Amino acid sequence: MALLTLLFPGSLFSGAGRRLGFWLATLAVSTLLASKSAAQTEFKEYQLKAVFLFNFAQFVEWPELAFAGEKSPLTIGIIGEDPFDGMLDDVVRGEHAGQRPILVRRFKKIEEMGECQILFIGKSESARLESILASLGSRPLLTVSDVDRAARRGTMIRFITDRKKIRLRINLEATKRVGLVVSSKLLRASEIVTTGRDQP
Amino acid sequence: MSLRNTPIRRKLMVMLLLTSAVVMLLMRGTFFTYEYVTFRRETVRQLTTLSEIIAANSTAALAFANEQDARETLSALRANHDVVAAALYDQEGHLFVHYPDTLAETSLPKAPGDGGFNFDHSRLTKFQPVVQRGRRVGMLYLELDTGKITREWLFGSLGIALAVMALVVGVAYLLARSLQRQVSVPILDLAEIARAISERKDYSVRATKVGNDEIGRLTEAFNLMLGEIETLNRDLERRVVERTNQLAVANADLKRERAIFENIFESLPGLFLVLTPDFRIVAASNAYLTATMTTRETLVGRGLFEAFPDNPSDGDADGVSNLRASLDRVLKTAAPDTMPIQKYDIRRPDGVFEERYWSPVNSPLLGVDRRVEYLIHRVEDVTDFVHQRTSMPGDSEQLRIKMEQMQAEIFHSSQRVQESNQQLRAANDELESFSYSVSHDLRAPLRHIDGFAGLLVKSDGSQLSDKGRGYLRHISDSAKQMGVLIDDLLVFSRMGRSEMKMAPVNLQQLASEIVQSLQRQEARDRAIEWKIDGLPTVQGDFAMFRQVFVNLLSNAVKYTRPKNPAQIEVGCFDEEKEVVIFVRDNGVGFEMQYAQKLFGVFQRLHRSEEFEGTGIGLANVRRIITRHSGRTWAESMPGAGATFYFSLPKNREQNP
Repeated sequence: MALLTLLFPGSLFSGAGRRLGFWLATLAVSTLLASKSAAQTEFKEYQLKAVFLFNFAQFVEWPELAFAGEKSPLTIGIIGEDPFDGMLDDVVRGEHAGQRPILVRRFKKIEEMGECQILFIGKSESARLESILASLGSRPLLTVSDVDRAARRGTMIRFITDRKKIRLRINLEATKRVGLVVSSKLLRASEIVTTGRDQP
Repeated sequence: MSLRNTPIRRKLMVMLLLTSAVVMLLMRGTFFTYEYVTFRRETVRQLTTLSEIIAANSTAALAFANEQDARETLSALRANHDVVAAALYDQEGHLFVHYPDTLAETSLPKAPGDGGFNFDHSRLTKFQPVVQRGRRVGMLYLELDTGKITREWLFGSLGIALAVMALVVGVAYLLARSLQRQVSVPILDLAEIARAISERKDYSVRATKVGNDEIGRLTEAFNLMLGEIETLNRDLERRVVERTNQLAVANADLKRERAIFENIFESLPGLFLVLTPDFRIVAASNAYLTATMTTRETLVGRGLFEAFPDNPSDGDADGVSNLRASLDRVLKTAAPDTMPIQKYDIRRPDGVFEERYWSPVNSPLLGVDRRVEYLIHRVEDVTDFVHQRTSMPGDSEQLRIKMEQMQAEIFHSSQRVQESNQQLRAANDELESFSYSVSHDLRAPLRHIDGFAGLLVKSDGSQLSDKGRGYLRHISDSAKQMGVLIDDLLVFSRMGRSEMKMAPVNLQQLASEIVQSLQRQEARDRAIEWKIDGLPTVQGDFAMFRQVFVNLLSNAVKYTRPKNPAQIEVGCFDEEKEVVIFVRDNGVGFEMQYAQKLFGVFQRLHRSEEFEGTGIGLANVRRIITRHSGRTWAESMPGAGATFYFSLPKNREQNP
């Protein structure tokens, strides 16, 4: 490079040389990125579900009375077995929904549940789903589950894992019943169902 | 064709059109720049709006990783053809979806950049954060092909610009065509009138004034000028006519006068010929024509000697050469020259030469610069006198014939006098050389006589008686005196022949010197009162004047010998044409009846025992003064002294 510049000072070659260097650097970086992205494309189901749970806080509006105060935290509750293996805690750590800090709480029984805005009902509770939902009554609380046919069975949002992708199914009746407003954007990205009528 | 030579009509058109075109261009340019800036800002705003809308619609799709939804959202961009690429990046910065589907992923940025615009080549790109409730869920990337937009906009804008330009120039052309007439038509009218006037020379035409602008004023000034020219022209024409008339009158007068003078000249009773300095005949009197049997037409303009050649049958004819010599003299001296009677035969019209005798006088006609302009040749025909014709009867005729005879006689005798004069001069020359050589040859035997007489006294003097010695002394003295006499004769002879060296001579100084030398010699023991006063400086030969004063002064010294004291005065006085110098003494004097004899050779009034001398001195004086064109004379009374005068013509005098 220096030799070239020496030989042809200010000539085309100095520019060409610089360009060559740039391309070499670009090649190296893109090779690096390619290997990294290959690792990231690995499907992490509960990682995604954790993010989605957190994201619901952005697309759903709760009525005033769902919170104790203006700055009281938004709580994501997990009933039964926790499938997230701490990933949800990682996702919400330090995050806020508006002015509210976000908390993650776990409990075995519905009776143990205190104030909660998003409730994840894991697959361990598949059999008890209807009773859990029934016990919740009309509390302004967003229920999310990845149990089979959860939405048909009255859960507000169901995660459907399909070909390494997670789709959403929303029971609009259920949300409306408890006074939750789901953003139309979320709705557009989701499949809307009603209680009872089942679909595969 | 340069603009300078273009017709004013086109010049105005070009000016107006150029001005409007330039103004249009400037306006369009400004407007175009403004439009371009506005256009870019508009493009950016459009892109901002578009990206915000798309971003807002993409939040859920990004938040919940719904590719299909994201694709649908992006596919809405299809409505905008300018968007060539779009992409959504998730929260981690990974490419999520892109638009259009056919686009290769590699042509998109690998990772999202910061928010904001970037103009790169003909691309406008923007990264728009996708935010849901203040939380960033991903990035939107939009890419606009501004080149295409700009091109489209440019073509549209240019098209409009060109159309407007064409319209404006067209309108300007029409306007200019009618407007330029306001300016050019009056000027062209004026020019046309000016041309017509200069062609027809009709200055009564006037230009029509159209308005009160500069052209109107020009027209006014033009008309004013025309008026002036017309007046001047009329005045000039009038004056030309007046002058022509005056000239015609003057010309007629001149012609008349000339005719009169010509008539006078031609009718003169004498025989006159007027010649140019190169001897060409200018005019001839009628009498001359008659006498030479010629006509004015054949003579005037011809050379004199061409018209009058020598008679070829007369071998001795010298008329031409004599006449030419005389005319040359007149040209040289600018003084008239009278020729002796000439035989100059005249050729009759039939070619035969007739014997003629002429008495010609040639005189110069001087011009203002004193040079000879013309020669006047006047002749008298003396042929009849020369031939002594006696054929005419009658008393008065007799007288005339007598007169002619006498004149002819005079001619003959004048010729005889000339001949004898020449003979005399030759004889005189001979005599002078003879006397010179004789005098010279006489001196030698005289010296011998004197010398041998002296030797005889020395060698045998003692043997001779007193009487014998007295004889020998007489012989010696006589020989000496004869030597002096011969010397004087030699001087006298030399005076007649020697050449005069003319130079200014100061007579006062000369006389004083001679007096001094006399005081040292002859007048050594004498009491003489000298008075020498006011003698002039004259032009002459110094040696000769010296001789004159030596002779006169030594005479004065000599003849005042009995007086004590002697008085000798040298002085001068002016006459009208000459200056007179005299030498006066109070000596013995002479009888006035001998006054004329004094200046002859060997004329003596006194015996040489009384006053020694050769009798040649005064003869020499007269000879010298005569050669200086002067006179000599003397006045005296016996016993009362004598005065000797000589005069010199005044033009020889030269003031000191």
